[in-house]
Amino acid sequence: MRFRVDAVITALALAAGLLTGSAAIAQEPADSDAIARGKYVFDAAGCYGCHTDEKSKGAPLAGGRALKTPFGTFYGPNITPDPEHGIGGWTLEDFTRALRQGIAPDGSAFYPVFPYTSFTGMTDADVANLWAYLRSVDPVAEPSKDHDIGFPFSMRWLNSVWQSLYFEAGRFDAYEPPPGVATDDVAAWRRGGYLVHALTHCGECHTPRGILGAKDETLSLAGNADGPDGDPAPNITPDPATGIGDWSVGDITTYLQIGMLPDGDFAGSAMAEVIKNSTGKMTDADRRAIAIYVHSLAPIEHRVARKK
Amino acid sequence: MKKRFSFGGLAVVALVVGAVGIVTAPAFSASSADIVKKRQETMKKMGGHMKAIKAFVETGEGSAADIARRAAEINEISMKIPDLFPQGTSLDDVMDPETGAKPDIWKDFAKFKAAASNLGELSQKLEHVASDGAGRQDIGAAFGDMGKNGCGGCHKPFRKKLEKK
Repeated sequence: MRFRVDAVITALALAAGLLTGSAAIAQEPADSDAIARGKYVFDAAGCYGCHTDEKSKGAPLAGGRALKTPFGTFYGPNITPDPEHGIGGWTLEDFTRALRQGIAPDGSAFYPVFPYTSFTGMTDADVANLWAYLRSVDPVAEPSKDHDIGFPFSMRWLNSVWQSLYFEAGRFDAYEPPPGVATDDVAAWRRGGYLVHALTHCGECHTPRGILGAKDETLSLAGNADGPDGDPAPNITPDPATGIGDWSVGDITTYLQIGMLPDGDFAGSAMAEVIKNSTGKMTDADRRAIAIYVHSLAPIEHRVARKK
Repeated sequence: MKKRFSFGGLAVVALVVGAVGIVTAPAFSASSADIVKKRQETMKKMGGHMKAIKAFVETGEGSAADIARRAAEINEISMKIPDLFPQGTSLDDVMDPETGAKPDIWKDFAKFKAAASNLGELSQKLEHVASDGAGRQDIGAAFGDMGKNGCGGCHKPFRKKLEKK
Protein backbone atom coordinates (compact mmCIF):
# COMPACT_ATOMS: atom_id res chain seq x y z
CA MET A 1 0.00 0.00 0.00
CA ARG A 2 2.74 2.31 1.09
CA PHE A 3 4.51 1.54 -2.17
CA ARG A 4 1.46 2.46 -4.24
CA VAL A 5 1.03 5.80 -2.51
CA ASP A 6 4.65 6.58 -3.22
CA ALA A 7 4.17 5.62 -6.82
CA VAL A 8 1.14 7.89 -7.12
CA ILE A 9 3.02 10.77 -5.57
CA THR A 10 5.93 10.23 -7.92
CA ALA A 11 3.58 10.09 -10.88
CA LEU A 12 1.83 13.28 -9.78
CA ALA A 13 5.13 15.04 -9.31
CA LEU A 14 6.23 13.95 -12.74
CA ALA A 15 2.97 15.07 -14.28
CA ALA A 16 3.21 18.43 -12.54
CA GLY A 17 6.74 18.78 -13.83
CA LEU A 18 5.63 18.07 -17.36
CA LEU A 19 2.78 20.55 -17.14
CA THR A 20 4.96 23.39 -15.94
CA GLY A 21 7.02 22.86 -19.10
CA SER A 22 9.98 24.65 -17.56
CA ALA A 23 13.08 24.80 -19.71
CA ALA A 24 15.03 22.49 -17.43
CA ILE A 25 12.39 19.81 -17.63
CA ALA A 26 11.88 20.32 -21.36
CA GLN A 27 15.56 19.58 -21.92
CA GLU A 28 15.34 16.44 -19.80
CA PRO A 29 15.68 13.52 -22.19
CA ALA A 30 12.50 11.46 -22.34
CA ASP A 31 12.99 7.74 -22.00
CA SER A 32 14.83 6.41 -25.01
CA ASP A 33 12.17 3.81 -25.77
CA ALA A 34 9.57 6.52 -26.19
CA ILE A 35 11.91 8.45 -28.47
CA ALA A 36 12.61 5.38 -30.60
CA ARG A 37 8.92 4.57 -30.87
CA GLY A 38 8.26 8.22 -31.59
CA LYS A 39 10.76 8.16 -34.45
CA TYR A 40 8.78 5.33 -35.98
CA VAL A 41 5.54 7.28 -35.62
CA PHE A 42 7.32 10.31 -37.08
CA ASP A 43 8.38 8.35 -40.17
CA ALA A 44 5.01 6.68 -40.63
CA ALA A 45 3.27 10.04 -40.34
CA GLY A 46 5.63 11.53 -42.92
CA CYS A 47 6.30 14.69 -40.87
CA TYR A 48 9.72 15.18 -42.43
CA GLY A 49 8.43 15.69 -45.97
CA CYS A 50 6.41 18.85 -45.35
CA HIS A 51 8.42 20.30 -42.48
CA THR A 52 11.83 20.19 -44.17
CA ASP A 53 12.97 22.21 -47.13
CA GLU A 54 15.10 19.45 -48.59
CA LYS A 55 15.38 21.08 -52.01
CA SER A 56 17.11 24.14 -50.55
CA LYS A 57 19.10 21.93 -48.13
CA GLY A 58 17.23 23.35 -45.14
CA ALA A 59 17.84 21.95 -41.65
CA PRO A 60 15.62 18.97 -40.78
CA LEU A 61 12.20 20.00 -39.46
CA ALA A 62 13.09 23.68 -39.55
CA GLY A 63 10.26 24.17 -42.01
CA GLY A 64 9.99 25.85 -45.33
CA ARG A 65 9.01 23.21 -47.88
CA ALA A 66 6.60 24.75 -50.39
CA LEU A 67 3.38 22.83 -50.85
CA LYS A 68 1.46 24.11 -53.85
CA THR A 69 -2.29 23.63 -53.61
CA PRO A 70 -5.28 25.09 -55.47
CA PHE A 71 -5.65 27.53 -52.54
CA GLY A 72 -2.11 28.86 -52.65
CA THR A 73 1.34 27.82 -51.51
CA PHE A 74 1.78 26.62 -47.96
CA TYR A 75 5.07 26.28 -46.11
CA GLY A 76 5.40 23.67 -43.39
CA PRO A 77 6.46 25.50 -40.22
CA ASN A 78 9.50 24.89 -38.01
CA ILE A 79 8.65 22.04 -35.60
CA THR A 80 12.04 21.75 -33.91
CA PRO A 81 12.16 22.47 -30.14
CA ASP A 82 13.42 26.03 -30.69
CA PRO A 83 11.45 28.10 -28.15
CA GLU A 84 11.04 31.13 -30.39
CA HIS A 85 10.68 29.79 -33.94
CA GLY A 86 9.77 26.18 -33.32
CA ILE A 87 7.50 24.42 -30.85
CA GLY A 88 9.88 24.54 -27.89
CA GLY A 89 7.34 26.44 -25.83
CA TRP A 90 4.60 23.89 -26.38
CA THR A 91 3.40 21.30 -23.88
CA LEU A 92 2.23 17.78 -24.65
CA GLU A 93 -1.30 19.13 -24.22
CA ASP A 94 -0.71 21.83 -26.84
CA PHE A 95 0.72 19.23 -29.17
CA THR A 96 -2.18 16.85 -28.62
CA ARG A 97 -4.68 19.61 -29.29
CA ALA A 98 -2.86 20.55 -32.51
CA LEU A 99 -2.92 16.97 -33.82
CA ARG A 100 -6.36 16.01 -32.59
CA GLN A 101 -8.31 19.22 -32.97
CA GLY A 102 -6.28 21.32 -35.39
CA ILE A 103 -5.95 24.15 -32.89
CA ALA A 104 -2.72 26.03 -32.15
CA PRO A 105 -1.71 27.00 -28.61
CA ASP A 106 -2.92 30.57 -29.26
CA GLY A 107 -6.41 29.19 -29.99
CA SER A 108 -6.33 29.80 -33.74
CA ALA A 109 -7.27 26.98 -36.10
CA PHE A 110 -4.79 25.45 -38.55
CA TYR A 111 -5.34 25.25 -42.27
CA PRO A 112 -6.46 21.75 -43.17
CA VAL A 113 -3.31 21.41 -45.27
CA PHE A 114 -1.87 20.27 -41.93
CA PRO A 115 -3.43 16.79 -41.88
CA TYR A 116 -5.01 17.01 -38.43
CA THR A 117 -8.26 15.76 -39.99
CA SER A 118 -6.36 12.45 -40.26
CA PHE A 119 -4.14 12.77 -37.17
CA THR A 120 -7.24 13.23 -35.03
CA GLY A 121 -7.50 9.43 -35.22
CA MET A 122 -4.07 8.84 -33.65
CA THR A 123 -3.77 6.81 -30.46
CA ASP A 124 -2.67 8.44 -27.20
CA ALA A 125 0.51 6.36 -27.23
CA ASP A 126 1.46 7.43 -30.76
CA VAL A 127 0.87 11.11 -29.94
CA ALA A 128 2.94 10.91 -26.74
CA ASN A 129 5.81 9.03 -28.38
CA LEU A 130 5.86 11.38 -31.35
CA TRP A 131 6.06 14.25 -28.89
CA ALA A 132 8.98 12.59 -27.08
CA TYR A 133 10.80 12.23 -30.39
CA LEU A 134 10.18 15.81 -31.51
CA ARG A 135 11.54 17.07 -28.17
CA SER A 136 14.74 15.13 -28.82
CA VAL A 137 15.73 16.67 -32.16
CA ASP A 138 18.10 19.61 -32.48
CA PRO A 139 16.42 22.99 -32.12
CA VAL A 140 16.91 25.28 -35.11
CA ALA A 141 16.42 29.04 -34.77
CA GLU A 142 14.90 29.50 -38.20
CA PRO A 143 11.67 31.49 -38.56
CA SER A 144 8.78 29.73 -40.32
CA LYS A 145 7.81 31.15 -43.69
CA ASP A 146 4.43 32.80 -44.14
CA HIS A 147 1.99 30.96 -46.36
CA ASP A 148 1.45 32.51 -49.77
CA ILE A 149 -2.29 32.39 -50.20
CA GLY A 150 -4.76 34.80 -51.70
CA PHE A 151 -7.94 36.34 -50.32
CA PRO A 152 -10.28 35.05 -48.93
CA PHE A 153 -8.33 31.99 -47.76
CA SER A 154 -5.67 34.25 -46.29
CA MET A 155 -8.12 35.07 -43.50
CA ARG A 156 -7.03 32.60 -40.89
CA TRP A 157 -10.13 32.93 -38.73
CA LEU A 158 -12.09 31.27 -41.52
CA ASN A 159 -10.38 28.04 -40.50
CA SER A 160 -12.52 27.95 -37.37
CA VAL A 161 -15.63 28.27 -39.51
CA TRP A 162 -14.26 25.56 -41.77
CA GLN A 163 -13.75 23.29 -38.77
CA SER A 164 -17.32 23.74 -37.61
CA LEU A 165 -18.53 22.82 -41.09
CA TYR A 166 -16.27 19.97 -42.03
CA PHE A 167 -14.34 18.62 -39.09
CA GLU A 168 -15.21 16.17 -36.40
CA ALA A 169 -12.47 15.20 -33.99
CA GLY A 170 -12.28 11.58 -32.93
CA ARG A 171 -10.16 8.49 -32.58
CA PHE A 172 -10.01 6.05 -35.48
CA ASP A 173 -12.65 3.36 -35.11
CA ALA A 174 -11.60 -0.12 -36.08
CA TYR A 175 -14.77 -1.44 -37.60
CA GLU A 176 -15.38 -4.90 -39.05
CA PRO A 177 -13.46 -5.97 -42.15
CA PRO A 178 -15.29 -6.86 -45.35
CA PRO A 179 -15.89 -10.57 -46.04
CA GLY A 180 -12.86 -11.04 -48.35
CA VAL A 181 -10.35 -10.53 -45.52
CA ALA A 182 -8.94 -13.79 -44.11
CA THR A 183 -9.47 -14.37 -40.37
CA ASP A 184 -5.70 -14.41 -39.82
CA ASP A 185 -5.43 -11.00 -41.45
CA VAL A 186 -8.08 -9.18 -39.42
CA ALA A 187 -5.60 -7.67 -36.96
CA ALA A 188 -3.38 -6.55 -39.84
CA TRP A 189 -6.43 -5.14 -41.61
CA ARG A 190 -7.32 -3.05 -38.56
CA ARG A 191 -3.76 -1.82 -38.21
CA GLY A 192 -3.79 -1.02 -41.93
CA GLY A 193 -6.97 1.00 -41.56
CA TYR A 194 -5.43 2.99 -38.74
CA LEU A 195 -2.29 3.66 -40.77
CA VAL A 196 -4.13 4.56 -43.98
CA HIS A 197 -6.69 6.85 -42.38
CA ALA A 198 -4.91 8.29 -39.35
CA LEU A 199 -1.13 8.05 -39.23
CA THR A 200 0.07 7.77 -42.82
CA HIS A 201 -2.86 9.95 -43.97
CA CYS A 202 -3.06 8.55 -47.52
CA GLY A 203 -6.38 10.30 -48.11
CA GLU A 204 -4.84 13.74 -47.76
CA CYS A 205 -3.49 13.34 -51.30
CA HIS A 206 -5.51 10.46 -52.75
CA THR A 207 -9.00 11.68 -51.82
CA PRO A 208 -10.39 14.55 -53.90
CA ARG A 209 -11.43 17.77 -52.16
CA GLY A 210 -14.47 19.99 -52.52
CA ILE A 211 -14.34 23.70 -53.31
CA LEU A 212 -13.45 24.60 -49.72
CA GLY A 213 -10.80 21.95 -49.44
CA ALA A 214 -12.70 19.35 -47.44
CA LYS A 215 -12.07 15.75 -48.46
CA ASP A 216 -14.96 14.20 -50.37
CA GLU A 217 -15.33 10.99 -48.35
CA THR A 218 -17.74 9.50 -50.88
CA LEU A 219 -14.65 9.26 -53.10
CA SER A 220 -12.31 8.20 -50.32
CA LEU A 221 -8.90 7.20 -51.81
CA ALA A 222 -10.40 7.23 -55.32
CA GLY A 223 -7.85 9.70 -56.66
CA ASN A 224 -7.38 13.44 -56.74
CA ALA A 225 -6.61 15.47 -59.86
CA ASP A 226 -5.17 18.27 -57.68
CA GLY A 227 -2.48 16.36 -55.87
CA PRO A 228 0.68 17.93 -54.48
CA ASP A 229 2.49 20.27 -56.87
CA GLY A 230 -0.36 19.99 -59.36
CA ASP A 231 0.30 16.33 -60.08
CA PRO A 232 -2.66 13.96 -59.92
CA ALA A 233 -2.70 11.46 -57.05
CA PRO A 234 -4.08 8.24 -58.51
CA ASN A 235 -7.12 6.21 -57.53
CA ILE A 236 -5.85 3.57 -55.07
CA THR A 237 -9.12 1.68 -54.63
CA PRO A 238 -9.14 -1.74 -56.32
CA ASP A 239 -11.23 -0.65 -59.30
CA PRO A 240 -9.95 -2.65 -62.30
CA ALA A 241 -10.34 0.15 -64.85
CA THR A 242 -9.45 3.32 -62.95
CA GLY A 243 -7.76 2.09 -59.77
CA ILE A 244 -5.29 -0.60 -58.77
CA GLY A 245 -7.57 -3.59 -59.23
CA ASP A 246 -4.82 -5.61 -60.91
CA TRP A 247 -2.35 -5.16 -58.01
CA SER A 248 -1.84 -7.97 -55.52
CA VAL A 249 -1.19 -7.44 -51.81
CA GLY A 250 2.46 -8.28 -52.61
CA ASP A 251 2.55 -5.66 -55.39
CA ILE A 252 1.32 -2.97 -53.01
CA THR A 253 3.79 -4.05 -50.32
CA THR A 254 6.75 -3.93 -52.73
CA TYR A 255 5.60 -0.57 -54.03
CA LEU A 256 5.47 0.91 -50.53
CA GLN A 257 8.88 -0.55 -49.75
CA ILE A 258 10.95 0.33 -52.81
CA GLY A 259 8.65 2.20 -55.19
CA MET A 260 8.37 -0.42 -57.89
CA LEU A 261 5.09 -0.71 -59.80
CA PRO A 262 3.85 -4.12 -60.95
CA ASP A 263 5.11 -3.48 -64.50
CA GLY A 264 8.66 -2.83 -63.28
CA ASP A 265 8.37 0.95 -63.52
CA PHE A 266 9.36 3.14 -60.56
CA ALA A 267 7.53 5.88 -58.75
CA GLY A 268 8.72 9.46 -59.20
CA SER A 269 7.93 12.85 -57.67
CA ALA A 270 5.72 13.10 -54.59
CA MET A 271 5.10 9.40 -53.99
CA ALA A 272 8.81 8.63 -54.35
CA GLU A 273 9.31 11.11 -51.53
CA VAL A 274 6.69 9.36 -49.41
CA ILE A 275 8.36 5.99 -50.05
CA LYS A 276 11.79 7.32 -49.18
CA ASN A 277 10.78 9.21 -46.05
CA SER A 278 7.87 7.20 -44.80
CA THR A 279 6.59 3.86 -46.09
CA GLY A 280 10.08 2.63 -47.01
CA LYS A 281 11.06 2.99 -43.35
CA MET A 282 8.08 1.10 -41.96
CA THR A 283 8.19 -2.53 -40.85
CA ASP A 284 7.26 -5.23 -43.35
CA ALA A 285 4.27 -6.01 -41.16
CA ASP A 286 2.97 -2.44 -41.36
CA ARG A 287 3.45 -2.24 -45.12
CA ARG A 288 1.59 -5.50 -45.48
CA ALA A 289 -1.15 -4.17 -43.18
CA ILE A 290 -1.62 -1.14 -45.42
CA ALA A 291 -1.68 -3.40 -48.48
CA ILE A 292 -4.27 -5.73 -46.95
CA TYR A 293 -6.45 -2.80 -46.03
CA VAL A 294 -6.20 -0.97 -49.36
CA HIS A 295 -6.72 -4.22 -51.24
CA SER A 296 -9.96 -4.83 -49.28
CA LEU A 297 -11.52 -1.46 -50.08
CA ALA A 298 -14.70 -1.28 -52.11
CA PRO A 299 -13.64 -0.39 -55.67
CA ILE A 300 -14.68 3.08 -56.76
CA GLU A 301 -14.75 3.89 -60.46
CA HIS A 302 -13.20 7.33 -60.69
CA ARG A 303 -10.82 8.39 -63.41
CA VAL A 304 -8.29 11.02 -62.44
CA ALA A 305 -6.95 13.17 -65.25
CA ARG A 306 -4.09 15.59 -65.20
CA LYS A 307 -5.19 19.21 -65.43
CA LYS A 308 -3.46 20.82 -68.41
CA MET B 1 34.46 40.97 -111.06
CA LYS B 2 35.99 39.93 -107.84
CA LYS B 3 33.18 41.61 -105.95
CA ARG B 4 30.48 39.91 -108.01
CA PHE B 5 32.12 36.60 -107.49
CA SER B 6 32.18 36.90 -103.76
CA PHE B 7 28.58 38.12 -103.75
CA GLY B 8 27.56 35.10 -105.76
CA GLY B 9 29.54 32.89 -103.42
CA LEU B 10 27.77 34.36 -100.44
CA ALA B 11 24.42 33.82 -102.11
CA VAL B 12 25.29 30.21 -102.77
CA VAL B 13 26.44 29.74 -99.19
CA ALA B 14 23.24 31.37 -97.95
CA LEU B 15 21.15 29.13 -100.19
CA VAL B 16 22.97 26.02 -99.07
CA VAL B 17 22.73 26.97 -95.40
CA GLY B 18 19.04 27.76 -95.86
CA ALA B 19 18.36 24.48 -97.59
CA VAL B 20 20.28 22.54 -94.99
CA GLY B 21 18.36 24.42 -92.31
CA ILE B 22 15.05 23.45 -93.86
CA VAL B 23 16.09 19.86 -94.20
CA THR B 24 17.71 19.47 -90.78
CA ALA B 25 15.14 21.27 -88.64
CA PRO B 26 12.40 18.66 -88.98
CA ALA B 27 15.01 15.92 -89.06
CA PHE B 28 16.32 17.15 -85.70
CA SER B 29 12.93 17.12 -83.98
CA ALA B 30 12.21 13.69 -85.42
CA SER B 31 15.45 12.48 -83.94
CA SER B 32 14.64 13.80 -80.45
CA ALA B 33 11.36 11.92 -80.65
CA ASP B 34 13.39 8.88 -81.71
CA ILE B 35 15.64 9.31 -78.70
CA VAL B 36 12.64 9.49 -76.40
CA LYS B 37 11.27 6.33 -78.02
CA LYS B 38 14.60 4.60 -77.67
CA ARG B 39 14.98 5.49 -74.01
CA GLN B 40 11.44 4.44 -73.25
CA GLU B 41 12.14 1.08 -74.85
CA THR B 42 15.33 0.86 -72.80
CA MET B 43 13.50 1.71 -69.58
CA LYS B 44 10.80 -0.86 -70.40
CA LYS B 45 13.51 -3.44 -70.87
CA MET B 46 14.88 -2.64 -67.43
CA GLY B 47 11.33 -2.77 -66.07
CA GLY B 48 11.01 -6.28 -67.50
CA HIS B 49 14.14 -7.34 -65.63
CA MET B 50 12.88 -5.73 -62.45
CA LYS B 51 9.59 -7.58 -62.75
CA ALA B 52 11.36 -10.89 -63.19
CA ILE B 53 13.70 -10.27 -60.25
CA LYS B 54 10.77 -9.33 -58.04
CA ALA B 55 8.99 -12.56 -59.01
CA PHE B 56 12.09 -14.52 -57.99
CA VAL B 57 12.35 -12.70 -54.66
CA GLU B 58 8.66 -13.21 -53.94
CA THR B 59 8.03 -16.72 -55.17
CA GLY B 60 11.39 -18.27 -56.10
CA GLU B 61 10.40 -18.35 -59.77
CA GLY B 62 13.55 -18.46 -61.98
CA SER B 63 17.11 -18.86 -60.69
CA ALA B 64 19.84 -16.88 -58.99
CA ALA B 65 21.96 -17.25 -62.14
CA ASP B 66 19.18 -15.63 -64.15
CA ILE B 67 19.03 -12.77 -61.64
CA ALA B 68 22.79 -12.25 -61.99
CA ARG B 69 22.42 -12.06 -65.77
CA ARG B 70 19.57 -9.56 -65.51
CA ALA B 71 21.45 -7.44 -62.98
CA ALA B 72 24.45 -7.37 -65.33
CA GLU B 73 22.22 -6.16 -68.12
CA ILE B 74 20.74 -3.43 -65.90
CA ASN B 75 24.31 -2.46 -65.09
CA GLU B 76 25.14 -2.18 -68.77
CA ILE B 77 22.05 -0.09 -69.44
CA SER B 78 22.82 2.20 -66.51
CA MET B 79 26.03 3.25 -68.23
CA LYS B 80 24.10 4.29 -71.34
CA ILE B 81 21.56 6.37 -69.45
CA PRO B 82 23.36 9.75 -69.69
CA ASP B 83 23.61 9.40 -73.48
CA LEU B 84 19.91 8.68 -73.71
CA PHE B 85 19.18 12.10 -72.26
CA PRO B 86 20.66 14.70 -74.65
CA GLN B 87 19.65 18.35 -74.31
CA GLY B 88 16.32 19.14 -75.94
CA THR B 89 14.54 15.93 -74.95
CA SER B 90 12.69 17.08 -71.82
CA LEU B 91 8.95 17.00 -71.29
CA ASP B 92 8.90 20.62 -72.44
CA ASP B 93 10.64 19.77 -75.73
CA VAL B 94 9.08 16.55 -76.91
CA MET B 95 5.32 16.09 -76.93
CA ASP B 96 5.04 12.97 -79.04
CA PRO B 97 5.76 10.53 -77.56
CA GLU B 98 4.96 12.06 -74.19
CA THR B 99 7.98 12.01 -71.88
CA GLY B 100 8.29 12.45 -68.12
CA ALA B 101 11.87 13.74 -68.25
CA LYS B 102 11.94 16.87 -66.09
CA PRO B 103 14.02 19.85 -67.24
CA ASP B 104 15.80 19.55 -63.85
CA ILE B 105 17.94 16.83 -65.46
CA TRP B 106 19.85 19.43 -67.45
CA LYS B 107 19.94 22.02 -64.69
CA ASP B 108 22.38 19.75 -62.86
CA PHE B 109 23.51 17.10 -65.30
CA ALA B 110 26.38 16.03 -63.04
CA LYS B 111 23.84 15.08 -60.38
CA PHE B 112 21.83 13.18 -62.97
CA LYS B 113 24.92 11.30 -64.10
CA ALA B 114 25.77 10.50 -60.48
CA ALA B 115 22.26 9.07 -59.99
CA ALA B 116 22.75 6.86 -63.05
CA SER B 117 26.14 5.64 -61.86
CA ASN B 118 24.59 4.91 -58.45
CA LEU B 119 22.26 2.52 -60.26
CA GLY B 120 25.38 1.08 -61.88
CA GLU B 121 26.99 0.39 -58.52
CA LEU B 122 23.87 -1.05 -56.93
CA SER B 123 23.12 -3.30 -59.90
CA GLN B 124 26.68 -4.61 -59.74
CA LYS B 125 26.18 -5.40 -56.06
CA LEU B 126 23.03 -7.31 -56.91
CA GLU B 127 24.87 -9.17 -59.64
CA HIS B 128 27.59 -10.20 -57.18
CA VAL B 129 25.13 -11.28 -54.50
CA ALA B 130 23.20 -13.35 -57.03
CA SER B 131 26.24 -14.95 -58.66
CA ASP B 132 27.70 -15.78 -55.23
CA GLY B 133 24.71 -18.06 -54.82
CA ALA B 134 23.13 -16.08 -51.98
CA GLY B 135 19.60 -16.92 -50.84
CA ARG B 136 16.41 -15.20 -51.84
CA GLN B 137 16.45 -12.98 -48.78
CA ASP B 138 19.87 -11.49 -49.54
CA ILE B 139 19.02 -11.11 -53.20
CA GLY B 140 15.79 -9.43 -52.11
CA ALA B 141 17.70 -6.96 -49.93
CA ALA B 142 20.14 -6.07 -52.74
CA PHE B 143 17.23 -5.82 -55.16
CA GLY B 144 15.32 -3.53 -52.78
CA ASP B 145 18.36 -1.34 -52.32
CA MET B 146 18.90 -1.07 -56.05
CA GLY B 147 15.24 -0.35 -56.75
CA LYS B 148 14.71 2.19 -54.03
CA ASN B 149 17.99 4.06 -54.34
CA GLY B 150 19.04 3.26 -57.89
CA CYS B 151 15.78 3.49 -59.86
CA GLY B 152 13.97 5.59 -57.26
CA GLY B 153 17.01 7.81 -56.68
CA CYS B 154 16.71 9.05 -60.24
CA HIS B 155 12.94 8.99 -60.66
CA LYS B 156 12.29 10.95 -57.50
CA PRO B 157 13.99 14.18 -58.56
CA PHE B 158 13.94 13.80 -62.34
CA ARG B 159 10.86 12.02 -63.53
CA LYS B 160 7.27 13.16 -63.74
CA LYS B 161 4.79 10.34 -63.69
CA LEU B 162 2.72 10.11 -66.85
CA GLU B 163 -0.81 8.90 -66.90
CA LYS B 164 -1.58 5.41 -68.07
CA LYS B 165 -2.90 5.45 -71.59
